[in-house]
Amino acid sequence: MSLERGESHRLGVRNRSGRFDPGLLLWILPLGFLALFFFYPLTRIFLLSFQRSQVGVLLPIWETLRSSETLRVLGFTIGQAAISTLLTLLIGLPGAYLFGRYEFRGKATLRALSGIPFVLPTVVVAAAFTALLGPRGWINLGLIRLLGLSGPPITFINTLTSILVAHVFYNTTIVLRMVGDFWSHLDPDMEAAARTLGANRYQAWTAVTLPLLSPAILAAALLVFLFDFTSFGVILLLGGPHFATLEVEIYYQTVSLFNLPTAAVLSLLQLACTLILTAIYTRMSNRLSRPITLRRARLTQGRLNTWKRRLGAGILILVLLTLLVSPLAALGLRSFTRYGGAPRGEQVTQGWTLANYQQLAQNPQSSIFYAPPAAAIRNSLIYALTTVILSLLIGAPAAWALVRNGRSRLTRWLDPLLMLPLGTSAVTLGLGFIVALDRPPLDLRASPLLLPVAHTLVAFPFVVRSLAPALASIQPDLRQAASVLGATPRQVLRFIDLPLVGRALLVAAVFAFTISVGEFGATALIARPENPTVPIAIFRSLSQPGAINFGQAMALSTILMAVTAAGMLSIERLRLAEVGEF
Amino acid sequence: MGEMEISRGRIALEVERLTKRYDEATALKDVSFVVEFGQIVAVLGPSGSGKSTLLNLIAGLEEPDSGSIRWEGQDLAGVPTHARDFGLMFQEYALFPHLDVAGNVGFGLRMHSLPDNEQKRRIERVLDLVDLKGYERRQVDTLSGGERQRVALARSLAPRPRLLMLDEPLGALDRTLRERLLLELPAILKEMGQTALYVTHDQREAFALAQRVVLLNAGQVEQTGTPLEIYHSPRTPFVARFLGLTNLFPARLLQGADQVVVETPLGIFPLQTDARGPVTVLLRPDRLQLVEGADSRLTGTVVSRSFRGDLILVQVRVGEFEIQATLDSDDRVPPVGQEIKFSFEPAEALQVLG
Amino acid sequence: MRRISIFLTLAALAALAACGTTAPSPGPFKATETARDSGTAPGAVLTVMTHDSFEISEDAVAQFESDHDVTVRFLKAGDTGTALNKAILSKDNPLADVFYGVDNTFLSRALEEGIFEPYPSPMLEIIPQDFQLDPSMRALPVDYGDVCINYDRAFYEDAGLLPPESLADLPEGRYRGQLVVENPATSSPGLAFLLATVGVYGEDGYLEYWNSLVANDVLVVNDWESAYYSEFTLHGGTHPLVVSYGSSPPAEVYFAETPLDRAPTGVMTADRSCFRQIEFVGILAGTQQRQLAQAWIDFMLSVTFQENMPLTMFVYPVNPAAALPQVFVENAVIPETTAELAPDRIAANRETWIQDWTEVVLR
Repeated sequence: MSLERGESHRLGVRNRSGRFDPGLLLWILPLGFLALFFFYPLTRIFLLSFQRSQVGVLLPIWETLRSSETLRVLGFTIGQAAISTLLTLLIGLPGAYLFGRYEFRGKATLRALSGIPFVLPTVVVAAAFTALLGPRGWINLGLIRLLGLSGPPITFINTLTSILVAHVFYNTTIVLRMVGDFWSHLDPDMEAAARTLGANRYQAWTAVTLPLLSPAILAAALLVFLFDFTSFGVILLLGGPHFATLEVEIYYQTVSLFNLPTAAVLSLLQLACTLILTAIYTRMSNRLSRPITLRRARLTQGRLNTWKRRLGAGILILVLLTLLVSPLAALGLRSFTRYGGAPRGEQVTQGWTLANYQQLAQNPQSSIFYAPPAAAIRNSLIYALTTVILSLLIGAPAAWALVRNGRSRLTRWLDPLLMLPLGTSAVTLGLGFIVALDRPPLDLRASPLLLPVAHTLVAFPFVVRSLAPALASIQPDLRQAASVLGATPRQVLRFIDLPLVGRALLVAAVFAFTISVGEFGATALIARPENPTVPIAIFRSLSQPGAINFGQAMALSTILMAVTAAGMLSIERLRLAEVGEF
Repeated sequence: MGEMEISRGRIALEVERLTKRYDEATALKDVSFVVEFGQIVAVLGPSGSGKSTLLNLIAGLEEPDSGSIRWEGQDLAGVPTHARDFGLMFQEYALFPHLDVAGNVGFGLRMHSLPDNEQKRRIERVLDLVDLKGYERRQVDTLSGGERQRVALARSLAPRPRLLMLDEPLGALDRTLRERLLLELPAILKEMGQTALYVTHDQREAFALAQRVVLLNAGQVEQTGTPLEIYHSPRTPFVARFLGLTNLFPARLLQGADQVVVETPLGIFPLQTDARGPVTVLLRPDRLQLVEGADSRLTGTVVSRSFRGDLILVQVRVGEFEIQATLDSDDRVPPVGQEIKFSFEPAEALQVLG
Repeated sequence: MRRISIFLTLAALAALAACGTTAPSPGPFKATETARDSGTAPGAVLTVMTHDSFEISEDAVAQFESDHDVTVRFLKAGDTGTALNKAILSKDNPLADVFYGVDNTFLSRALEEGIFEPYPSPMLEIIPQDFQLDPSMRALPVDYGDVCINYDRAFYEDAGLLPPESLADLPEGRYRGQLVVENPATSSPGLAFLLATVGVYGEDGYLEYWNSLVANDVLVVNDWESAYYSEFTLHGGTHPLVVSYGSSPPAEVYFAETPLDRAPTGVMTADRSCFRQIEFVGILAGTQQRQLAQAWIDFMLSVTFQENMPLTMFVYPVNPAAALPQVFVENAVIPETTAELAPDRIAANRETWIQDWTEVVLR
């Protein structure tokens, strides 16, 4: 009997009576979207790239793959991504434990703060790290003054360390949110049971908590790794010219040399790595995922009521604040600081000022591309909301289809494909849009609609990865019980699935929002300058010399941080029916 | 098993003046009781009375603010959970979803690093004991509620804990299953000679299983005793009410001419007691006799009758009070709305509560 | 459930705001609609594709629009190289009518790919021959700027040191650890500066020169923003010499927080130390708006636009009739001689030069 059930799961395509499984219809929207906006443009640009090769298709592939330079870049790309991911987990997991298991004041704020780095343009983050740790940054200046040194004691910019720190800075929020959330629903009795059965703390962690958390940890690690793997801005701006990832190399080959065949080979290499990695992930995650009983978060969360817990939490929060918030604070401070114009003294700050903000309201060149900050914020929010809706609309059916069809062969094949957009070179995809979406009704090359579409491509894997573990953990008998009680499939969704995954849905929405506000990959698209978003306004300010321009960029970045925090907090406040309690 | 028999009667667990506060709220206050070897002690109380906190403290999952927990005289303060050698069976079982039945049952054995073949033997034996022979490779999410309960029991029994604590183990089961396990569980525990602490909010379970009952209310012990002692002489109105004895009246004890009398809304009755002043009096519903005639002590109107097979539950209005009486099923209870008369022996039927 | 409907209402409102036609300033999606009704005049639309640094004043655009009864739509397609690549890849079905912003380091790529139609604008007559690098008149010069070393005046005054005057001074010990340059593989001024050294020291000598810069602790960063805003002493860095533009000093004055008497930075110009970037415009082959496109190019070369450029894009006009704004007259430095390299030579050797440079400087 149970074997039969397993079989029908495995077949997936046809149910027991041999008829077509209507659950497959769930795939239409997500796969249609990916086909149209991902696979089609990529195929077109790859074909065109190889057509441009004067020496055939195979030679550029062979030449690129056997080049020691390619191997070196690939090695560095994988190596730095692996170390960055490990470091991110090292910082993120204790944080996730704190967020998942304890209720304390300021938790929501800390959570929101941890998400801000995710939206900041790399240029701004680089500026923040420079203001903090640069040769004349606050820390170095402070140490020089304190210890009476002759030069800056800390070298940070243009080091491997800066790449790793920036990656941790950017991506810790992924671990905090995905793992922390899962953790908050994990039955604390599991660990207690292990302890009463004779497991010490370490054994209880490795034998029970870790395996139960592993689907969420794996999913978060995969996303973090892919972000680090395709890292571009951080490598370029913080790492400096001594470091290059595949993405940087693709940019160089494409933009500087217009060597499209080589760029295409590198792009394909990046995709292949992503595919292999995701396939491994899918296998592992299928093995590890088990339906578990989720608990309401408020039942699993304790208070920091002993001094040991308070101390531990205090240290952890301090580490998170130092790592995640101090660069943001530096940025905020910088936007209120009068800078430069100083003679060669060590003192580079010239006191406090609101000038940077006042200047934002002015358009001295009466440029046609000037946008008041309010308009830029509005544009950013409209794109972000569109992305949230679009990515939930496409991601939710995909996540559900993945879970529904359990371990069918079809799912095993489709799952890795869903993650591919994250591992794709933005430069390549941007060119793909140009060559593919060029005929009505799909002439979207210069359409503003392409921006939320591109954001959705990046947000979509996040939505799937946030929702799937939660959906998978719903005990099937809950749904069956509801059906037996006379619930229609829609009611099952409304009363069983939605309340149970509501929290994950909010997490997904927050990710989609932040990805869009942060303008991932947008530089690869064609911008309509008359409606700039906040990041675009920041780039515009930064591209010209002059103290005011830099100050404005800092002010806009600070505004962007505030808007992001407000957006995230209000999404999290949204209580989807009884979901909120979860 | 043999050594357990020998040590019966000796004190195993000793809980003394245990107190635990969460922020402002006091979860437990000055809780003391003992458990003897081989004994099943039930901790009985309504939800929120501190039962789970008590288990967590004994298991070492939390630390008490004051008071002590001793095993065979040895203080357990500072002994971590895994070193206490106590088993805990959770209310909703907390089975490990990533392990199969054998993995769950053998978990404690693995933690104690038993040799593989010994593990296998013990798993087999304990599964046999709970009637789940051959279930080793089943995934826990394919089990029924009753099967899960048995796996949870087997898992907590397998490492042969010095003390087994069961937290509302039957709470999540349906009625028939509960009735059956109510009979099986003590048998299994007895066969293992297991010292156990059984937490429940259901007095029937507690009375059916335990040799002694500790009744908790709002973090404090209301009464300790054998099920019989508690049922026959509840010490406080709370205990009486919790046992379903609802015929409680405010009363005053007065020094009569030659003896003490109790003045209740139902009348004045002679009584043997040392207590004085305002008290609460319990009229035991099972001590009321149906009479027809003038020598009745109580007259009222039947409000409802409920046939329970071996007895009839009658709800009677007496003045402004409503009282309950349990009568033999062959008694001729008047229909609803009619007058009904009772007699009783005050010394048996009336109990003075603190 | 009620909360869900609140959320949906919010979302709907946002969507409405996006598509709303009554809003005083259009949301981002509004632009599609104006774009779609492009067709025959009146209400014709001219699309100008350009790079991200393009700026123009509202008045200038408004004047052109009313003169020609046309709506001008701008598309910003990334940095110079990226924008050009997009123009090339869409040449079968062009995205725009005009492409502006290809410079002399990319000119050969644009011409070889044949994205432009020739247009012998009457305006070319007054524009100096030096700027007209394309004899086929497909790419027409619009503006130029010089990539030069900028120095922090205050730093050298405080240090009692004279700033370097030409490339030859930079390897000297007194300028040790003072220069920051951009990576030519990733930055346009970085490439321009590399080309300047090739122009001055020749293909045989430039690597040796770079070796001497490396020995003198030159710092390389990937982009102009990092070099200028993070490493340059003027903005809080530790390097008083930076590869930037000859027009950076007037920009510093124009965008100063408190009014300045003179520019805080100077420019090193002697002995062909700068590389001149010339930017070109062209009509994209296959345009349906040939007449308007020609008008736009004439407009870009006209005094109106040419006088508009310095303060919006900080470049110099190629039209000699255009007057420079006062802040340029006072603070801008236009070198008498610059390092020269023909576009086809740049195109042919770019990869080799960058690779060799990388070997010497970064390894």
